[in-house]
Amino acid sequence: MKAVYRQIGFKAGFLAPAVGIFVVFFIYPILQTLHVSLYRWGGLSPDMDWVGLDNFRNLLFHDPIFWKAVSNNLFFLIVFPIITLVLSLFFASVFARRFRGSTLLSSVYFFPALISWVAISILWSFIYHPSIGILNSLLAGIGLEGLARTWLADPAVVLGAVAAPLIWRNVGFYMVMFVAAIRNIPPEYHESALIDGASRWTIFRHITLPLIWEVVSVAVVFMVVNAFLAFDLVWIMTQGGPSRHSEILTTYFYRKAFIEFQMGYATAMAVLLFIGVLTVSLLLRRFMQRETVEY
Amino acid sequence: MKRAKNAVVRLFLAMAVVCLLSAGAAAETIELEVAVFDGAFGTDFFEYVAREYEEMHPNVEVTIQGSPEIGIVLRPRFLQGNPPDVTWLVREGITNAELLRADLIHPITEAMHSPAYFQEDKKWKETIMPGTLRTLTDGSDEIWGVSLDLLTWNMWYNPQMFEEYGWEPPQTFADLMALGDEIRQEGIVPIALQGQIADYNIYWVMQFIQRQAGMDALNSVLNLEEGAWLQDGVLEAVRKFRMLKDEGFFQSGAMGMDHMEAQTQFVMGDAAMVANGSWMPAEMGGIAPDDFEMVPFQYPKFEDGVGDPNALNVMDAEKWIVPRDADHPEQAVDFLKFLTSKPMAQEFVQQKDAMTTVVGANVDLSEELQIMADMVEEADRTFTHVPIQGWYPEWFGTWADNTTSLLLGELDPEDYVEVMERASERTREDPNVELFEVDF
Repeated sequence: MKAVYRQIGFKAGFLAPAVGIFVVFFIYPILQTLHVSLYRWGGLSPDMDWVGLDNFRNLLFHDPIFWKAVSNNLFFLIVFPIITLVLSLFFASVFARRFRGSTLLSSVYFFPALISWVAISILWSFIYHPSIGILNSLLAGIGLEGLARTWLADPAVVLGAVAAPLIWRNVGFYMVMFVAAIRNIPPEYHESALIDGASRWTIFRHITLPLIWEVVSVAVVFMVVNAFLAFDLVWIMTQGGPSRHSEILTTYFYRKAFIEFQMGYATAMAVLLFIGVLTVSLLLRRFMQRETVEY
Repeated sequence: MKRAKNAVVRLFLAMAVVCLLSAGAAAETIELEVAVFDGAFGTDFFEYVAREYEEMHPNVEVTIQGSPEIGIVLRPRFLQGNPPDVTWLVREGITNAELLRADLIHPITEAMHSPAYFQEDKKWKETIMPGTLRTLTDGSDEIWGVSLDLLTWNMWYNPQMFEEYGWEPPQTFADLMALGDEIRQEGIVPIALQGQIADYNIYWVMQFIQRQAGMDALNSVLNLEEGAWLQDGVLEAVRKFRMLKDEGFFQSGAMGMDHMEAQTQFVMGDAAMVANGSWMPAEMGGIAPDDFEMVPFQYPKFEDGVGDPNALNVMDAEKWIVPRDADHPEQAVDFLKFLTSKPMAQEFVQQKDAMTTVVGANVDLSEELQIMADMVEEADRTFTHVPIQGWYPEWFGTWADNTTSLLLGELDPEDYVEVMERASERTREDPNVELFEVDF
């Protein structure tokens, strides 16, 4: 019995530092956030007014901008993972087969993932610039000036315009992940399928995808989290404008916390965002869970 | 022997007293920490003031701490109750309005009634332009801060271009419409506008409301009064502003440009006019061609308006304040008095080519600043958005959004005044919002 206790103590001794760090830097801030979300607080003095669930009630039932931000986030949540997944899987299946120049080309596709969000935001703001932007010039050059517009100030297209760099930066990153996963598949499977006369699409659909499914499902969770938490890009490119047409939850949170100084209200939003990300991630993990194929 | 022993004891005691006194004197050195926004003015002028102050007050050591994000740097220190002795906050992080709401500012009212530095026949208060002392207020009679620099918001034109085409700066709204038409026919953009910083376009609306419906109407709008937005004059002002867009007076893509991009159109000669603050020459200095000139002028009068034709939007930069929890509040207030003394303000004007709120110190200005100083002089009434933005940040944000929608064509002037009336009502009836009053 004593030996058992000693063993538990031994294990606990090893676990304690990690658990301690986790509690101090993760659990405590989460609890603190929950606590602040129940108050009205300007964020500068220790005086906080208890308002119970009022912040949540106001957010959910009286704040049209919150719902606008939620719907914009949903747009990101649907458009960004789908396009990014399709493109990165496509490029991964192309570059997984080694051919002359494949390393160079895949490096080119990966390159945007190395640039900081701030630089990307500024770069794309220039691409979209109404007078010196390359996009409008390109459209004019190929006779499509009718499509040229003020991309970041046109309510009809601003969300798509902001989503494009988000996709552009991430495709290369996930492509590299998928290439590594595909290259881990023993080549015999592909070879025997080819000999049996399977098309490339059939091979991809029935051999490649099932064998890298675990990586894909993790990647999708990352994408969803990215879609929820994209902040730098939107803030630098549009600050949620024009007139809140590209406001997402994180930019709205920032505005409430650091421009309007409603810390309690902003924190309530952070709590809802946390619940949203957690729920969607868990649902996705559950939905995408399949029996792992051993090979 | 005993006497000698007494003498030694006395000598020892005397030495001890001298030591203690000198130690006391050393301990009396006051270290004053002054935290400033390190922006267009840098920190060199404030260092200069600090050294001058130390010369007059040998027991004070002044440290200047500058940062372009001074509010963000200081936020945790305010939270801990350990702020500097003096702050000048600009841009994000903290605003004075927020500090005042949290009761974290030390009032300077009493000192304002004491004699000014170098002009002892005058009270400090009398040496500062009166309107600027009331823009940081909690509704009481207390004075909470003082500005050194004076900013105005007005229009600018390109004199070389105007001379070349024989144009004159528009005096009236009708002139503006006619001139805009003429400019457009020359293939030039009449007015460079930016849409990214929505606040800037609110200044247009404020001045248009003032010109068209009068200062009382503007006050009622800013005081969130019932029906304020539904006044005929207010609607007409909004219509006139929208007319500029509908007539194509702004450059294409204006709403996708920020202020620097729009101002660049102006200094590159693609646009004839622009509305901007008195800081524009400094802001565009590195971008404008060397021989480029820009001349400020007042927003035109409205012939059918009842407003004051000379009323000026005095932007009124953020105030210098003494935090409530400052270590040396009295000395800090004294430093502010010194900073805003006439000789220091004159030095500021000379060194930084900027205007000041200190009465009589705006001398030997550059040509364009002199025109603006004259505008300030001529303006019987001034107004500013600064306190409003601090009191009702959410309402102000809504105003900015709706103004963008007005310029995008999403809202008509009629819808605009309706949604703003509702926004005012929501804020007015929000039990969590404390209401204040302006009387410009």
